[in-house]
Amino acid sequence: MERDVFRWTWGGLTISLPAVGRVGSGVEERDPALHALAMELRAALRPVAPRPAFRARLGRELAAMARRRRSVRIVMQRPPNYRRGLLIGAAAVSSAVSLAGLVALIWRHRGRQVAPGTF
Amino acid sequence: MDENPLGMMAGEGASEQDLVERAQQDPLAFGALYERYVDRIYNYVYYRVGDHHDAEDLTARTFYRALAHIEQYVDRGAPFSAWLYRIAHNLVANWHRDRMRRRTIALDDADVTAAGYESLQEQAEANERAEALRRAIRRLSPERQQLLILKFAEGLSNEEIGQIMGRSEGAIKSLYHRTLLALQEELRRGEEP
Repeated sequence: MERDVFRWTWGGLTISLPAVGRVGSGVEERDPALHALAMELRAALRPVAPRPAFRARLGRELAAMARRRRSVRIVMQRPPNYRRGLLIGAAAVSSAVSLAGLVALIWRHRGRQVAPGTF
Repeated sequence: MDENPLGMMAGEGASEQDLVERAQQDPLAFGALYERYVDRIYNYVYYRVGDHHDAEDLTARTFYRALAHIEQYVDRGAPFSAWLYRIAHNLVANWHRDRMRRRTIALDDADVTAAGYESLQEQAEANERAEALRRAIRRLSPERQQLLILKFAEGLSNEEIGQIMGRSEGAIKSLYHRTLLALQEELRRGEEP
């Protein structure tokens, strides 16, 4: 091939050499045996597709994973004031519950001590 | 089951960069990338492992990992698919390492039958040739196998293959040449009694 050959003409003598820098470029086109091999490779490695059921199932699983990731991200992206309010609220509720429990316990204890007719 | 389980547009017409940016902001938008690349990744993995069951498992793991790390993806000029192929390639390499002592794979078991032949005998001969070829490919180095699969099963250009394999286009051309010669030699050896 003309484009793959370097030619020098010196003193009426022409020297032709394959272009060194193009080694491997379209090599199968220059060599009939390699060309045939490339054709066979194309036939032997024809594209295969996944089963539609697998494709759909994986899509659903990825969607579920994506939704979980999005929920986590939404919570993490709440403004600091919102998170602070949430924490203070949760702390207040748990303190109130503890206090109520304590009061109920004392009340019950006192009630037992003063109840008439008990041993 | 809805056709688009990730519940968003398939991304036709949108540029790859747009789809990636959307997926980085909203994980649900990853669905468009999944729809665009699942067939290609499956095809690649299938020819690397030679078994549909394992190909499904590794394809699933590729996309799980991609979704989990999409926020860390940085566009360095290579297409997003190159990043996916690299994930798949690493998973396949681990898979081969894990199974090296337990079983023989794989390309020679590939159940791809030849098509377009007139007689059954012709088809049988073509299948036999294709099987011999896949066996010979299996004996090549993982790097050469990867190149042939990307080139022929995936139909990628040398430039695209270079981006996936982290090499220049020239290096891929050179590797391709050496791979064809090595494959020719393998086939010759396989024919010897």
